[in-house]
Amino acid sequence: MAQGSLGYMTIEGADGEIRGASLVVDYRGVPMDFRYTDPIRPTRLERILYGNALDVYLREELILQSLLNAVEARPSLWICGDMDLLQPLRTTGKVRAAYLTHSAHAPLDAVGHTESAGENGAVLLQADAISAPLRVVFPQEIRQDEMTGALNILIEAAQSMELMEPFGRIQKALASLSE
Amino acid sequence: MAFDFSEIREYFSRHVLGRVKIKQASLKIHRPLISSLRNNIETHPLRTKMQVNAPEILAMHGNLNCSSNGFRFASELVSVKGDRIRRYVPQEIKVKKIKLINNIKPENALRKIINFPQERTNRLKWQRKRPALAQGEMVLAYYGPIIEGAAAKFILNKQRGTLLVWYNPSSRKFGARGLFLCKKLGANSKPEWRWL
Repeated sequence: MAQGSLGYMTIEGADGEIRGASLVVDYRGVPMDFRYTDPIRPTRLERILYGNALDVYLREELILQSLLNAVEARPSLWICGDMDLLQPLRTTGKVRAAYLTHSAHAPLDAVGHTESAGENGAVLLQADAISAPLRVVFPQEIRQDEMTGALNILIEAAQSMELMEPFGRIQKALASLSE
Repeated sequence: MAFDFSEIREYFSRHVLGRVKIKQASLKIHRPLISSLRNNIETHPLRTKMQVNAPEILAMHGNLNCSSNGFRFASELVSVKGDRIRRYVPQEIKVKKIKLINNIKPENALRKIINFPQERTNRLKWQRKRPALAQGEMVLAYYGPIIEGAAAKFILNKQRGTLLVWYNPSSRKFGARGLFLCKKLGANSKPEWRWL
């Protein structure tokens, strides 16, 4: 029986407000822990005073850190859908993290195979036999054994869930909570 | 007839001699008084003159205690505008960790996310295996992976071509399978689900 879990982290901003959410699921995709923040709306004065640092400050220091501190379930691997969150997850959160996206690449030879995807040390991973390979990016200073471990987690989880699907559920939940 | 003026002069000179005072008139001309048409402006300070008393005089009335420590503007005179810049602290909705027991009452947020189904896309183009088909049957879609033992409800979203799956969170089943959607050709036939 699979005991591992995956954490999904998303922080999004639109219309002058920014909010974040995290969802930890088991390898079936069943929720184990769900946290979200209220939307933060910086005032005009705060935008002027903080300048360009405001977005980074809100995302990395406040929302991300607050969510990581609040989550009780400790996932085997954090997955972010935003490349900007990858390094803060590693440096600030001190957690194992990967940035995951779909690719339009043709399937690789077999499940578990990887292929270099060029920039940022990205790799294509054939996580299961019934989808296109996923594009995975790891933090810059990750060790080879850590990367291998993270890839194995993704392969194992993909046998019983769709790896990108929880992001859509977070969006629906946030939209529902805003109503 | 001609008068002899010299005789007349001599007569009068003898007659008034010593009685006539001769005064000397000054030829000095006074300067005319010149007045300006402009108005003269007199300025008078409204302030009373500062009077500085010698310390000795003050000492006569008792020693004055002069100190800058007690010098304060009355607070009512000063009005300060502006707001404190607050440090952001996102309010967090605390959700308890899920416990896999039947009678749990999760918080609203967690209940919402649990109630959301998982969405499976059609992966038929990636799936090489096919179910055994009867004559006239065809495969429309393949959805997976799905935990058969944990699934509580399925709904096919015909608009998006996706399958919505509700899991029972208290289930301990982890075995994943796939689900084919098959249909027999013909107007009256209903689609069928088959596990792989």
